This record gives sequence, structure tokens and C-alpha cells, in this order.
Amino acid sequence: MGTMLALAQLRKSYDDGRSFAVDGVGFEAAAGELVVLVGESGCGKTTTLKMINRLVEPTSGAIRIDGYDALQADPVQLRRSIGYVIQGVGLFPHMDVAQNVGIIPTLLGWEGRRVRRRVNELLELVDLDPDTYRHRMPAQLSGGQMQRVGFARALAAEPSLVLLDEPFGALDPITRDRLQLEFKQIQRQVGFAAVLVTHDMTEALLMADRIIALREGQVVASGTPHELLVSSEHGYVAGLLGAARRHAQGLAAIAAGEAKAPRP
Amino acid sequence: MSESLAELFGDFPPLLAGHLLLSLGAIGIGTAISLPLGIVAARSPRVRGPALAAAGVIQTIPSLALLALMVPVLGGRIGFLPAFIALTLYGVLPTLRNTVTGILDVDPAVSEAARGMGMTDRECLRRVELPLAMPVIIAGIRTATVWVVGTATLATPVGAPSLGHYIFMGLQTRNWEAVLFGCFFVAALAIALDQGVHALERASRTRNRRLAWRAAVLLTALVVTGLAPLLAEPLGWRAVVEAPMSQDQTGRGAAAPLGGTHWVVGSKGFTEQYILAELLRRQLEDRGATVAVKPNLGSTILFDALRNDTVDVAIDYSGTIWATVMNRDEPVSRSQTIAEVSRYLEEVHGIATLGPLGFENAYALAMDRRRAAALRVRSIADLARHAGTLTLGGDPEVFGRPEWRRVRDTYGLGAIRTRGMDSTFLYGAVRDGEVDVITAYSSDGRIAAFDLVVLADPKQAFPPYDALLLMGSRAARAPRLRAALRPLVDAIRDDTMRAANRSVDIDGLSPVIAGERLWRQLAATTASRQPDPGSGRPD
Repeated sequence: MGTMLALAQLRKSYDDGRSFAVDGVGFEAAAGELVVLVGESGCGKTTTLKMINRLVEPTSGAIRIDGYDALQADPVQLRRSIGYVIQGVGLFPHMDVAQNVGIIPTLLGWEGRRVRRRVNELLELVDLDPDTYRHRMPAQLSGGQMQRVGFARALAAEPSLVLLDEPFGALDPITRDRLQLEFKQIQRQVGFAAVLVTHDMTEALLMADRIIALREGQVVASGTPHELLVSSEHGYVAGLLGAARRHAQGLAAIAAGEAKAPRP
Repeated sequence: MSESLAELFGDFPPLLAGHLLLSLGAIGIGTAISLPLGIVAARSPRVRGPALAAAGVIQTIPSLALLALMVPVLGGRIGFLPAFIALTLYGVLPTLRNTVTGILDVDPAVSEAARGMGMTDRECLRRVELPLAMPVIIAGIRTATVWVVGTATLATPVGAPSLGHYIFMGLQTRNWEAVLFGCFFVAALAIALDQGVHALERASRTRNRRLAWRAAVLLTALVVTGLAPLLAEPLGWRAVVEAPMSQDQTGRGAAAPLGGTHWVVGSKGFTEQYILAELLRRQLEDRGATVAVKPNLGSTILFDALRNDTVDVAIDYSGTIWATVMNRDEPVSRSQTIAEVSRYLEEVHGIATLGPLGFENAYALAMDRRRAAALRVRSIADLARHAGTLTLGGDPEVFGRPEWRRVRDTYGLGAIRTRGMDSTFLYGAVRDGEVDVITAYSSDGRIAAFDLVVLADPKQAFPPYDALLLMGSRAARAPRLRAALRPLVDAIRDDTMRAANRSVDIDGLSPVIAGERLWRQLAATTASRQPDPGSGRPD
């Protein structure tokens, strides 16, 4: 499968070039691939994500999506072709589930019947029974259900690229685990490329096809979860991975019958 | 229905129509300004600061002052326009502030989601921000509605018909039934409009078509019924929107001396002025003219209205013009004051003085008879001995007037405590001992009725206050009008006016009937010296 997204030398300065919140970031994502951006708060991961759909305009650099130059495109058209999921979901509280999911197709001028059919398809895809949920208001949904609707909404216009900003952050651990698995399934099924921002390293390791670690706006490491785990024994990336590694070792130890997980 | 209530209802349709037109116009235009401005202000901090600050400053101006200020701002124009503009400005703030707040309070995650999924600014506003802000915006419109309907009562002193007429008139003539009547219908109107807007908003939020229809039908019925006098009679629009200048709508033939002419009589807001306005109306109607009375005008507003011909005929007092308009303070005789005031009005303001009515309504200081005797006070000069322990009650404007400063300085009353209150309550307050002395009007019927004594003014610190018959420049150029009014010159004696005032203030007669009685009384006594209607010689 071909490269769906390619970033090169992406930079963002908020003070006319004296300092850079994002400083020369570049990576690629293929169709069906999930790239996860990790790093401490303020490392530039969310800014990088928002530059891809130009909620933040890059200061310099290049973004190519499916071969065309995203910086030359009309931002509104560009955003309509990219799925977008944010933490806290951002469902429109005054619209029911069907209206929320169907909003972009409606803005794109699809006819009513086609929008309804698409909404039903999507609700089934995210495992919500259309007849039960179509006319519920967001306030009547649980956190997990809201996030499913958020996914459905992001996928409505059949995007080839989906951006996710801490999509599981507000969910309880059990719901989070299930939705992570389901999201991977949906991605495999539909085949879009995805870029996900998280500060939860376990999530990154378990979900990512590739992890990009950022620090002070620069890429400090990138690779498959396996590559990162084996290559970084020390330093920044090891620090990021530390908690996840300890949790894994602790769980393994408990499973093996030891009384207590080793503390560092 | 009692007779007095029936009389109140007699004026009701045009007053309600005026009130409703004024309120709906101000709310409508106010919303049309504040909604778009609020949307822009929510987007742009550079617009937001100044817009909210300006609206806030307007809000802090007392509403009565804001209405009155519009008259000089519009070059002395009275009636619908100044009231409408002031009320519109007054109604802007709640809607503006709630629109800004409503939009800014939309969850940032929601608006970011909207933009991130590819909504244009306009789509985001229309489909997300406005619908979410709508309950807050509607709350602002409802607040504006209640404020504007309530404040529209204050349109009365600037000459726009409104339900405030009952309140102002009732307060001045001690007719509490009229005050309550006015308050009741203003409140009812405010509640009805507020609930109508509320029902429409709830209907749109819950997509309840039946509720929407019901609210729309009720609101439309209210508005159409209320405005019916204006809709039924196209002339009615002009009566409310502008002071009509001249139009032939009289049934009398042009054979009557003033047949086919229309004149506007202005009056200030107290009993004597109401009665005199009715007297003037009766006098002119009797000669075939149609007459509109604009009652309850503020002093300076009436003066401006005469200057620019929005009022044709009015009564003012020589001492008032002498002191507050001409800023003179030396004591002069009655006849000399009249002569100088007349010349000044003609030369500087183009206002003609037809002549004095014959009686004086002077400012004077009055006390309870027994209290005055106990303190051995006969003249204002005697008050100085007790100044430190006495309280002087006065109407709100008197203590700001040069006449009072002159009296105070002439007699050394600097130590006296002053207390402002509505002139309606002054006489009762001094009778009941709440204050020791009051500024009274010498022609007020309550001086005798409450057994008060007027203190002598040996140094003539108060100027003379002859009632003068004044005409705007347009009216002054109509010889037949002058001829029609001339029989009133020097026709009313002090005790005649005092009795007429008393019949309203004490006996509870309506000013309309008192004016009618006064007219009959004068017609009987002046019939002999009425000049030929056609021969208007210049004064």
C-alpha cells in the first residue's frame, strides 16, 4: 500500500522564528497504518497533528496527502476529506446522533437518503444499533458510546486519513481497552491511514504500527513499538517507556506468582 | 365599570398603541443592531471591548435622562423619534451582552470539532454556535423586552403617547387609580411579550409546532389588537409618529374661524398645566380647529418644542423664563418682567407672547399655619432665625433653580436642610409635619385646603410668575389663531385658577372636566369683550 501522508521539515513558530514549537518534524503514514505521536506535555505532538488539517498553519515545511500538496488546498475542503477525533469528543450537544454523524455528508450536499444510509452503516460499524441510537441526544449517551459516535462522525465522508487527539483519554480503563481494540479492527476493515496523539505509552505500544517520539518540537526516536522497546534502555525515550515497561514487568511477575512487583 | 375607570379606558386604545409601537420598534431595531454586533464582537476582541463598554455606559445613564437628552440631540424634536431612539439604545445592552456571552461560552471542544471537521466560519456560526448560544441570546432579548416596555412609560415627558401618561398624570393629580391602572397594563404588556418570546424560543428548541403556532397567534393577536387604532386610521400613525402640523379632518365647515386647521397644545406635567391645556383645546375646538394635546412635557422640552414648532401653543411662567432661561436674578416688577421676557422670547427664540393669562403661579414658601404661629414666622426673613433646625421640602427641580439660590442667599437660609420630593406629596408633608416649610406654588388649591400660610417675600427674592400664553413662530403667523386665543388674555384671576386647581387636587375632578368648566366660566364672563375673529392685529 502506498504512502498516504508525508510530512517533511514541518516547523511552527509563534514568535516570528525566535523559537519553534515544532521544529523540523517529518514522517510518513501508509494506508491502513497507525502512527502514534508521543512525548511529554508541550513537546509539539498536538501542534503537529493540527498542522496536518491546518487548524494550525505551518510556518514552513511540506505536507502531502495521497500525493497532493495539502498546503495548496483549500483548508475547508482539506478538513472535510480528513477524519478528526478529539478528546472529550466534541459532539454537537444540540444535534442527535444521526445529525452528528451525518453533518459532513450534509455539508457536502449529499441527498437525505444517502446520508441516512451512510449514518446507519457507520453506526453499525462502531457497534451501535441504529434503531436504538439514531435519535438519542449526546447527553443521553455514556462516555464510550459518545466516543463511538465520534469515530462514526470522523469516518462519515470516507476519509483516507484520520487524525485522533487523545481519543481515549476521558474513558474508564475497561471501555478504553475495548475501544482501542475496536478502533484497530475498524481501521483494518476500512483501510485508512491514522495519526494518533497520546501521552499514554501503553496505549501507544499496544496500538501503534509506528511510534514517533517528540521532544521540544523535534523527532528524537521513531520505529515500531518493538524497535523502540529494545533500542532505548536509557535517555528520554526510555523515560517515556519506563512506566509501561514497569507495568508489564509487574504484571508478568504477579502472573508468575511473585508476591510483589519490583520497584525501581 | 365605575365612571372614573371608564374615563381611564377612554384614552386607552391610542396610549396602548403608542406604547406598543414604541416598544416593539425599539426591541426590533435594538435586536437587529445588537445581534449582528454581538456576533462580530464575539469573534473580535477589538470590537468586543468598545461595543460592550459603549452599551454599558448608555445603560448607566438613568433612563429618564437618556430620553430627555434625545430631545436636544435631535434639535428640540419631541414625540416618537427621541423616545424611540433612546429606548432602542437602552434595549441594546442585554441582547448584545448575552449574544457575546452565549457564543463565547460554547464549549471550545465543540467549536474546534466543528472547524476541524471542515465547517466554514459561517457554517460553524449558523449550525453550531448560534443554536447553542440561542437560549442565552433569547434570555437577553427577554430582558430587553421587559426593560423597554417598562421604560417606555418615560416617553410621556418627551411627548410620545404611552401608558406612562396614566402614571405621570395620576401622580400629579393625586389620582391613584390612574397610577395603578397605568402600572397594571404596563406590567401586563411586559409579561405578555416576555412570555410570548419565551414560548417561541421553547417551541423552537423542542421543535413543538403546536406551541409555536399558539404563541405566534397570541402574540400577533396582541400586537394587532394593540395597534388597531393606528391600523384602522392612517392618520393615527402620524399622530403617534410625528406631531401632525396641519390637516383637515374636522367635521366643521371652513366657515368657523379656525376651520380646517390643526394645532398642537403642549403642557407640562402638573395639574394647572393639564387644566390650562384643556382650556386651550376647548377654546380652539370651539372655533373649528382640531387640536392635539401633548401633556406631561418636561419644562425645557416644552420650551424647545415651542421653538421648533412641534408645539404651537403653551403656557409658561414669566419668572421661570426670567430665571432659568434668561439667567437674570435682579428683582423687577410684574409688568416689567412680562415686557422683558416677551421681547427676549421673540428676539432670541422666535416665540411670540400673546399676553398674560392674568394670574400668577409663583414659587413661594409655605408653612402650616399653627407651626408658623408657634415659631412667630411671618415672612421668609423670619426663617433665618430657625434655619439650622428647619427642613425645607421642595420639588426635585426647585433646588437646582437660580430662584432658590437667590432666595437662600438673600435671606441667609444656607443652614436650612433641604429635602426633594415629588410636588404631589409636598403639601401633605408640611401639613403632617414631615417637613417644616415647603416650596409651594401660589395658585395651588391645597394651600387653602390644608390651612397653610404663604410667607411674605419682602425683598422680592422670587421673581413674579405670571402665566403667559406663548405661541411658536408658525402659530404666531396665524392671525385667526391669535384672535381665537386673545379672549383668554387677562381673563383668569388668581382665585379662579386656584379654585380650578383645587377641584382636581382636592375634589378629584379630572383635568378634562375642570378645563371644560373653566372654559364655560370664562366664556360667560368674557363674551362681552371678545373681539371680531378675523381682525388679528399684531401685538
